[in-house]
Amino acid sequence: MTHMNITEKIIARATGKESVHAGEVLFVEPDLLILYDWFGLSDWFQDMMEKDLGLKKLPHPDKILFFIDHLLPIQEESHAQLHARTRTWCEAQGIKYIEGEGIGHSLVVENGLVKPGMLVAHFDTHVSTVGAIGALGFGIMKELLMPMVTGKMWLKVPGTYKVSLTGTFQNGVMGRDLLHKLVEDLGADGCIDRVMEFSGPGAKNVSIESRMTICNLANFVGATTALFFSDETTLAYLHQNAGVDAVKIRSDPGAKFSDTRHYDLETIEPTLICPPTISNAVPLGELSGTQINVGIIGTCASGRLKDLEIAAKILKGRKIRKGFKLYVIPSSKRIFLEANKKGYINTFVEAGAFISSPTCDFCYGKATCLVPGERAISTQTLNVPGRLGSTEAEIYLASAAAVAASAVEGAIADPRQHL
Amino acid sequence: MSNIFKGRAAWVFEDNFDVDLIVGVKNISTTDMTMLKADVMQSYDKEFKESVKSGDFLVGGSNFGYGHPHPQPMMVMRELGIHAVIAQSFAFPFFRSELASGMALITCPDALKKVSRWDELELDIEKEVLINLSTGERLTLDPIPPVILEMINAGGVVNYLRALTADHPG
Repeated sequence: MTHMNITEKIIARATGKESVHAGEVLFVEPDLLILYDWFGLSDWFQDMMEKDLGLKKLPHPDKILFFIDHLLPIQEESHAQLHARTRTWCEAQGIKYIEGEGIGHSLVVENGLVKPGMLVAHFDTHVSTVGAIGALGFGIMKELLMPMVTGKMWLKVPGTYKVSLTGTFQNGVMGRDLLHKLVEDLGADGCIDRVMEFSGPGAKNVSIESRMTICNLANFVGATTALFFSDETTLAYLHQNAGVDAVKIRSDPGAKFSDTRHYDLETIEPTLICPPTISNAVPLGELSGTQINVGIIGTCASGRLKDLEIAAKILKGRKIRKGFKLYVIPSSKRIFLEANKKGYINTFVEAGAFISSPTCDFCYGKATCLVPGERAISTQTLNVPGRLGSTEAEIYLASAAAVAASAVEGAIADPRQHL
Repeated sequence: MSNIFKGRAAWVFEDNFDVDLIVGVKNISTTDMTMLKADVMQSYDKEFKESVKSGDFLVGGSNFGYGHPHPQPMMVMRELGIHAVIAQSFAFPFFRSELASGMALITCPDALKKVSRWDELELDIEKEVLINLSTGERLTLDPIPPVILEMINAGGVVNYLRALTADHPG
C-alpha cells in the first residue's frame, strides 16, 4: 500500500488513480473552477471560448462559480459594463454567479462551497485560501481556459513541505505572523514546486481565519499552494458556518515529505513584510515607531471575524491617531452583520475608522491611494511599489492586530502592548 | 517542426525576479503597446528595445516570476521578439500564465551560473540541452513533459485547445 500525503491523496482522487507521486505529470479533473470579474481575464475567457474556439456552451457549467467582488463600488461606466457582461454570460451558460455577498476566496470557505479534499482551480493565485479547510487550490492564470473547456487541467504533482506546529500563539500574535516568519526563515523560493502542509498538535490553536490568511499568502515563499490538515476545528467551523458535515483529510502515517520543519507557536513574534517586496520579512520590534499614514484591515487575506474581533479589542474606547486613516473592510456580508451585532463596527466608527461593504478594491489602489512619501500598514496581499497609488509610497504588510495597534499610535506598534 | 532555436541572452535576471519590474508597476493594467515599449527595461538598460533581436532569449535564476505576475511584461517581450525564458526554476502562477500565452519556458538548473548577457545560445528542446555557443558548454535542461511541449509548439493554450476541440464543436 502506498502512503500518501494530503496533496497526493487529493490529486490521486481527482485523477482516478490509486496513487500518485511528486514529479509525475498528469491530467486532473478539478471539482470546482472559480473566477472573478477582471479585465483581460474574465472577459478574455469568454472571448476565447466563443470567438476563437467556437464553443457556444461550456461542458460543465455546474462546476464553475463566478464572483463579482472587484471593481466595487463602481467608479467608471466600463466597470458596470464588465459586471453586466458577466451576469449575462453566466445566465446564458448556466453558471452560478455570486454578487454582493463578499470576497470570493474567503466566501467559498465560509459558506462551505469548498470542502476538505476538494481540488479547486482559479486564475488567481490567492485561491490557495481554500487550503484552510484541507482543500487544494491552484491559481493557473490563463490556463484556466483548459479546464473550463475540457473539464481537465494538467498538473505536475508538487512535493510537500510539511510544517508541524506545537504550542499556542501569544495574545496579539496571529497566523499572518507565522507566515511572515516562514518568509524570514525560508526565503522567496523556499517552497518552490512544493505545497506547504500544516499539521501537528498546535494546529488546533490556529483558527480557521488564521489558517485562511496563512494559506492565502502561500506565494510569498514561492509555494505552489498551501493547506492545513483538517481536524475538529475544521469540522466545527464548517458545521457552524455552513451546516456542512465534512470528513477529515490527513496524510497517511509513513507519507513522504520533501522537507519538514517545526514551529512552536509560542515563539512566533509579530513580524512584518516591508517594502519593496513580499520576501522582505522583518520582526515588528525592529520597526516600532515608524510613522504611518494609512491602515487597511480587509482584502482576501484578512477581514474575517477573528481579525475584526482583535482589532476591535485594541480600538475599544480609543481614538485613531489624528491624521491617520484606517479602513476596515469585512470580507463578507455575513461577517459585516456579525461584527455589527457584536459591537465591533460601533467600536471602529467611534475610533474614527472608515467602514466599507465587502470589496477587493482596497488591495490595489482602486478604493484608496497613497501620495509620494506616505506609508501604509495593511493586511493586503502585495506591497510592490505602486500597489496603492504612488510608486514613491511604502506598504508594510501586517496582521489585523498590528494594523489596529498602529492606528492608535500613528506609527508601527506592537499589538501585544495594546491588549 | 524543428525544435532547435538559436539566439542571444538578451538579459540575465537575478533570483526571485518580479517580472512586473520589466515595465514598471504603473503599466501592469495597460494594453497599450506603445506605452509598454516606451517603458520596457528602463530601470535596467535604456537601449534594451533597440539592441534586442527577434529570436533572443531571457535568462533567469530561481523562482523566475515571483510575486503577483501580470501579463504585460511578457506581452511586450514577445512583441520585441523574445522567444523563450530559460531559468533555473519558475514561480507557479508565472509558469502557468506564460505557457498559456505562448512563451516557451525552459527549466535549466545551471542557466544563471553559466550564461552571461549576449552569449550566443542554441536551445534544443527535443534533446533537452542548451548549448552556450560563446563558451562551448552544454547545459542539461529539466525534462519537458509532453503536455508542455505541445503547448509550446502550439504557441499557447488557445491554439492547443483549438486542435483538441476542432473535431468536437460544442
